[in-house]
Amino acid sequence: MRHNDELDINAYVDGELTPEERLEFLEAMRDNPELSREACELTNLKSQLQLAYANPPGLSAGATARKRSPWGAIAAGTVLLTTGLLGGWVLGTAPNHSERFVMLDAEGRGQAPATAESPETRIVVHLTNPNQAVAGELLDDVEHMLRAYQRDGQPLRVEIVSHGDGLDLLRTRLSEHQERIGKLSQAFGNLTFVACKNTIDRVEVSQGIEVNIIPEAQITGSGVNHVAKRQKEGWSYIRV
Amino acid sequence: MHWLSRIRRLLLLGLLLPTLALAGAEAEKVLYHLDSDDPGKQREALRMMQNHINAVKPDQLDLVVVLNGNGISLLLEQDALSRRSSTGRANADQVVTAQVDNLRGQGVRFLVCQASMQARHVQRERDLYHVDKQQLVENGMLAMVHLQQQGYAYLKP
Repeated sequence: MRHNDELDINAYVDGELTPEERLEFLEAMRDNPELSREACELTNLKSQLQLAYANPPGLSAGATARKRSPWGAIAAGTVLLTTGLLGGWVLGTAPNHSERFVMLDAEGRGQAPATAESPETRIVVHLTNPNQAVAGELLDDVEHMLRAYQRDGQPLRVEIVSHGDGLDLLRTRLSEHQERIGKLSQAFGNLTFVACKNTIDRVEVSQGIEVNIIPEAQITGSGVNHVAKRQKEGWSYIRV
Repeated sequence: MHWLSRIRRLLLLGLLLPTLALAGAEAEKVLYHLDSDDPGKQREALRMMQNHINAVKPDQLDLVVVLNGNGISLLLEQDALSRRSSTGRANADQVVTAQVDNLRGQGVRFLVCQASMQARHVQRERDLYHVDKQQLVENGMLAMVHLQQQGYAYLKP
């Protein structure tokens, strides 16, 4: 990053960057988990401040909501980036319309290949189960999917949002899959792990401990809010 | 009333009625996800499905259940436990199978994840209660994504 990071974070959170600068910043965030964590925390702080001082008269609710939540911009930027990257990659390789995927017709027994209307399959996994064996099986499924889509040159994006008891998967002290998460994150740029800040805060306050999140994970203010937003954006939703 | 506006009304009605009829005929598509082997939770899920069916008109609900992870225990026959090397629950007792039969009779489809079966050394014919090949999906999560892409609403009891 050429510019001063802290200035950029503030400008980004305040929505003062030009589209080009924002794109550059998003790219930098993608490569630098620490930066994205700081941006997320700053956003969280900002929204808390806004909540504390309530809505000043004269400010429309819509404007406040927009300011409070840069996730839309982040999502749009990320989707743009991913689409661009994947698009280039897809164009580079000959698309191979495999019939591997079982597609279900109205009777649930169709075998036709996927003809998705959306060019990209997007899945948000909402993880609230603390069981590490269950989380391991989830990672198996996700890895299977990532590899299958990669083989077929089909664009895919997967987000695993750890929330409530599900946060254990992303806690350095409790996760049994930290090494695997590191490897998967490295191998698949289209896989994102997201930790819920509200949960982290709650655990820290109630247990009087410091919660350490594995470095590959991004942090969002509210896990539920993030998941709800993804569903509104048309992502497929799986709760584990 | 002017004849032109009357014709326009008739035309509009003619356009609207088939659309309404089609919209009315379209079944509600719902996907239930079951991944727990807790018998209480499974019983509750089956009850929810029956209530759901009762709440809509006959043939107006396209209900699919996807069993993955520990959820496949719903259709795991009780004597299958002794045959398998891994431990876990097998919940397909007489009460459960009667309920499953009843739901199937009302058009409910139970789809089972093959990846979860393999991880638990479960074989379809030997261990599962009346599951034919067409009710197997290679990967439950992938099937649920595809179903949602085809307009199925996702419910996790």
